[in-house]
Amino acid sequence: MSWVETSNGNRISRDAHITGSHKILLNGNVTVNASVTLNADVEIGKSTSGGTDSHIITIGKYSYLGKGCKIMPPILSIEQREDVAFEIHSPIRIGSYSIVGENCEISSVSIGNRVLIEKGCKIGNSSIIYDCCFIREGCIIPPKAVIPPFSEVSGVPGVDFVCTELSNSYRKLIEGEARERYLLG
Amino acid sequence: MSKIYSNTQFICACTTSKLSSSDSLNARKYLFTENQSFPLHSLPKLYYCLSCRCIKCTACLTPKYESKFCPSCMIDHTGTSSVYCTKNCFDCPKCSSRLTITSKTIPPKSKQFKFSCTYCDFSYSTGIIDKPKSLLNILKSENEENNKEAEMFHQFQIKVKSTVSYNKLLSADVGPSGSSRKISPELLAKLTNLNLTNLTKKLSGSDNLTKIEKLENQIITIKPIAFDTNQDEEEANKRLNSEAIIPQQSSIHQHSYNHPFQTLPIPKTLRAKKSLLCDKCATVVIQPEPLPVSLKFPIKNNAVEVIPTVKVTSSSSSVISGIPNSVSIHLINPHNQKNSVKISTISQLPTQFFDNTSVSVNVTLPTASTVLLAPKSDSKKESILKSIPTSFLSEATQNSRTELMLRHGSSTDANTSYLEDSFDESFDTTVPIESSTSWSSVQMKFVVIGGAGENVDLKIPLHFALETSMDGQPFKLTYWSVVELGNFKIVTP
Ligand SMILES: [Zn+2]
Ligand SMILES: [Zn+2]
Ligand SMILES: [Zn+2]
Ligand SMILES: [Zn+2]
Ligand SMILES: [Zn+2]
Repeated sequence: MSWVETSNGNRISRDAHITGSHKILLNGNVTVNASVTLNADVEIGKSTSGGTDSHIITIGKYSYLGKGCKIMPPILSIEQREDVAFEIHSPIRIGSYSIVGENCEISSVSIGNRVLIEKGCKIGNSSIIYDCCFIREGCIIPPKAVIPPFSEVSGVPGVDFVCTELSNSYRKLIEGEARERYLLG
Repeated sequence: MSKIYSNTQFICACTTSKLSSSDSLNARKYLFTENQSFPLHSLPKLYYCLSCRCIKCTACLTPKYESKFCPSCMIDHTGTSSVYCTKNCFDCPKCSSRLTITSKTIPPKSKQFKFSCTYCDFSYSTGIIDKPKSLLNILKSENEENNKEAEMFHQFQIKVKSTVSYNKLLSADVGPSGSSRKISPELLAKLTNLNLTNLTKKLSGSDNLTKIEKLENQIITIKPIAFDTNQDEEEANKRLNSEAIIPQQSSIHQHSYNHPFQTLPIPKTLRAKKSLLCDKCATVVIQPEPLPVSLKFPIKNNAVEVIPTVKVTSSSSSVISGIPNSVSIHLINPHNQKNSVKISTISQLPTQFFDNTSVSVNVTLPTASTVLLAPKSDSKKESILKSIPTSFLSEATQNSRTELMLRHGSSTDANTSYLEDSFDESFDTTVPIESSTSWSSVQMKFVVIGGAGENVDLKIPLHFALETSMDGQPFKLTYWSVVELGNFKIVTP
């Protein structure tokens, strides 16, 4: 497996699927593993773009995207233009020191700093995950959900979905985990 | 080397102090030899009390509420008496996801509100609302109406269920399965006692006729099921479920928000921000800032900031019966001060720590069982790499490969001495292992006797006496932990 390392320390697998790269901002020391999808080649709603040079996907420093995860800007609305439906998206922001596990699908508006998402999670359209959250393996976060800071979330809605408080101990632990993953791969 | 995923758990001081106040090492006599069960905690869930100088779990801490907020709209509700969000945040009664709310105007000036689940197919429309009223109050009054019916239907459901079980009981009395059965006089009496007429009478007092009709239909359809001799209770229930009136019996979690009659939107329960106080001396061990989105904690005595992380690695998944096998115990200092740690264990491993009754296990630690750990490093790349025990470095990145090469040159790891064949528990040699790093790896040896060809699941209790400094003052803590070594195949020499 081969890697591209940028001047600000981002490590990007050559096997990642990246579209619209000029609209993607990686803030340094970000790891993008093989088979990761970063899809920034989408149409953005006028009200949500903060100017011409704003980014569609922004990822904070030391964040880590595991193999096969998909980062898709959330769908804001669907517009009909001469019988053709166009998806209008809004940008997606992932904070610093956040870890996205293998094969996750992320369509949030924003994911905070120091968020640990274990493998196989689906983070629903236009959801908001605040800082210091721990999303357990295989969890489904429903669309538009808001997960407050210091939450531990697991399960599937209607089956075993649970959102409880997370100890503040995890603030440093998740940051440390993200820094180490960057260094250890 | 994850500090989040750990195979080490800790015993809180509230478990050990009940047994011996002065020396928690004595606690082992009670804890580990009388097969006691005791709560184990992961390190991130523990705190420490600065004045009692012991670790604290949430069971021995008292909460003090600082503020409350809605976890959905994040609005501060501190100072109000409400337990629910009053700003139109509602959850789905079927799946607990967020509900979106739309309204339509019904001329001249009435309104109707519709709640739709963002995840499942649940939706709910309110009646037509003439006067301005909060959504919470609209639902409250609609809930009161529904409750009358719900109560009656619940009664009815209990009756049906009891009849089904009664029928089952009867059928057990009647000959072998397959033989024809006749309805006994008792059963007939039971049928009449179902008192269905009474229920219908009660319901006719309510003004919702369609629901009464529904219920009546249900009563009619249930009858043949309940008295079909080929149906057992489970099958009857299954049929009832397929009528979609009585929801599926399922997990406990689901039950909490899938109650048979809880079909109305559920107002969002507020979340509290709370401080935790030592239950002995009322010292605050943790205090959050009250603002909902604030991440700050003016006081945070998290155990994870002082107590070294314990990680275990073993080179093999098999052990040779009767011969010392070794595992490495890695201690990583999370504290920005020097940390000296004295480790001890129980040489004759109590039986509750392994799952194979045909073996016995002896454990020994190195002669120098006091480990000195340098303060934790800063967060520069190089410093972080240096703070990782060699066993956890990988070949996956250039950074890690470089660090590995540097270490092979110097051998930071080979700093433990080990006294062969000694299974003495008291290894008083207090010559500390000098370490310039914030971590140290100690070789622990164990001997499994017997059980060749079998497997054994091993856990080891470790006692730690920690000495460090806190705000310039010396700070000591003692505690027990239980380390999971994993599963080993026992082989003959
Ligand atoms: Zn105390
Ligand atoms: Zn406790
Ligand atoms: Zn709210
Ligand atoms: Zn739902
Ligand atoms: Zn119930």
